[in-house]
Amino acid sequence: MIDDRYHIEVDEKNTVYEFVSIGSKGYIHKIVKYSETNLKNLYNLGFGDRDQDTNEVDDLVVTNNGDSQKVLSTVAATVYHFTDKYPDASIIAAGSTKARTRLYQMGISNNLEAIEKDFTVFGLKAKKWEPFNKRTNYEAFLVKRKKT
Amino acid sequence: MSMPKKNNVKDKKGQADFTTNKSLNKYRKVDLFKDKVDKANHILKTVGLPKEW
Repeated sequence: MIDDRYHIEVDEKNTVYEFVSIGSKGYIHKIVKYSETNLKNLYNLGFGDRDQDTNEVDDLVVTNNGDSQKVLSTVAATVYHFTDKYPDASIIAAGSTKARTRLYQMGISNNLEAIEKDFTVFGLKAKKWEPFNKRTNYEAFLVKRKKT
Repeated sequence: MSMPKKNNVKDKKGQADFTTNKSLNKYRKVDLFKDKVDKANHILKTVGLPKEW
């Protein structure tokens, strides 16, 4: 998961990331933003496409650029980078659509052993958090970096 | 327009370069993904965090 991914640009405070997805639909600029929530050290992972003409960011668009695994790997790389910079941060992520939530679910499930070496991962199901289980479909995800 | 500069920081796996791009700073001040942040805050308010957290 970590190996094949896009080059990433990052803002000066390491909270906004951008990369370019290259696939069958062309060049799609992707934005990942870690936003503060009402809880200290807890950040929301937002993810969407940036329109190059208007600069507007859309997190509902379904791109189907044929590179979803590489995109997921790149988003995962931003999680590593962000938590390198903010090691006490926890991250909450809920897909903007059910399809995107499923994509996150697949990304975590397919790489759970590797992810759990570095992160504690919980999933939200029926208004309860539980340790991430591959066989359960979750509504949201919560991760934090393990202390080394 | 300023040129992106090398951050020289590699992620833990040491396989990816991240380039600092000042033009992304503007997105920090914009309410990007506000509905998702609101949703996260709602979850945190109503469900809280895991006991183990």
